[in-house]
Amino acid sequence: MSEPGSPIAALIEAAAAGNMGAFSEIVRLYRMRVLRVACGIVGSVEEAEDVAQEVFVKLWNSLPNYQAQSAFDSWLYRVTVNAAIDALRKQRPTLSLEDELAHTTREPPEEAALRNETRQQVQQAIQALPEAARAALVLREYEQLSYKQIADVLQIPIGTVMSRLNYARQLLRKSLDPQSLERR
Amino acid sequence: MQHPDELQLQSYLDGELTEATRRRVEAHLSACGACREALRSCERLSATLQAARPSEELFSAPGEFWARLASRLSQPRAPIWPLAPYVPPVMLGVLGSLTEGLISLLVLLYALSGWGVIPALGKAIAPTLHAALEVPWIEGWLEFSWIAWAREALQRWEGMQSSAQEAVVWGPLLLGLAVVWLAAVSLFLLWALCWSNATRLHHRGGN
Repeated sequence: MSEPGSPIAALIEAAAAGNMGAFSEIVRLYRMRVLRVACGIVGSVEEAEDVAQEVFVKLWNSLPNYQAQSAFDSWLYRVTVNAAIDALRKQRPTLSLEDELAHTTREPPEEAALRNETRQQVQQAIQALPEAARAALVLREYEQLSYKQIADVLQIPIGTVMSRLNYARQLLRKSLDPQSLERR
Repeated sequence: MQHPDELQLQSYLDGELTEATRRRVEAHLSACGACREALRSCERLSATLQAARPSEELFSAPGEFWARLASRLSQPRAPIWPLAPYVPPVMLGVLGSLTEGLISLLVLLYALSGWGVIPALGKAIAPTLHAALEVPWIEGWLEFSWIAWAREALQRWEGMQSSAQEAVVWGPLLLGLAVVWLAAVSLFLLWALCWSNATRLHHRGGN
């Protein structure tokens, strides 16, 4: 929460005044969160990197106008979800997350193959979800946001958050291989 | 307690139930094998999803990410004019208010001329224009045919009834100002609606 006097509030203030060092620290703190949410929604590492770049450029330009009406985290997640959904609608064929997973791993081969197979299945299933349900699911499962935080990010009632999550989970349960669930 | 539905079980797993409800669900789960199995299914799904979370190694290194971003931030920020969105509605508001003021003034002058406090505008026009046409530089500036036409028009004007003269003078003036006022009000409302949307979008964060 960007309460006055908190470290993040000080960084925001400094970055809003043009301090690149403060802004790089904000990027360092929030980069993975933005990338994870973007990747979960667009389903491609390359696209997620582009989305994350856009988000931080927007952040840089908007910081002077940022009013602490909502927590900084919620605000940043909101910008990320909106940017990711926009990118999704303009999506060009890129290397999908499944293909990326096949090339980037440092685990022992057998474990890596198993994990990658599961990840690929899960990613395919998530990408098949409607945008709205996908965003809610990614925020809950990848970022562990509470229902209230998700409602704040997506600007919807808590009841809608619950129904979207429930819908997403029902669809995933139908589409995921029961064996890949049992391995957990 | 009745069997909790899927939504309730999921909320329990997500830690979103109230204390009282959570205790009731837990008491039920301790006695109901079917609901425990349903909960385990929710747990497995959640664990699978979290394990599939994109990890840091998939993405570019922090330094590379920052280098790419920093090159896009090197341009100076676009100047921000916080009052810019307010300029059009303020201008339209000023225009509308001025027009309304002029309409009120004209109505007042019309009323005063009707009560005889000030000379009727229609009657005042003719002598004023006659005098203007005899000013040497105007006489020299206008062509003879224009002056002749103007004198003829003035004679016809003097022959009109005073009520007709008043209608010809006041009517177009008031109508013209009313049209300007209506246009200003309409544009003001239109701008207020568009601006409000833009403000909402801005406060919603970025799009």
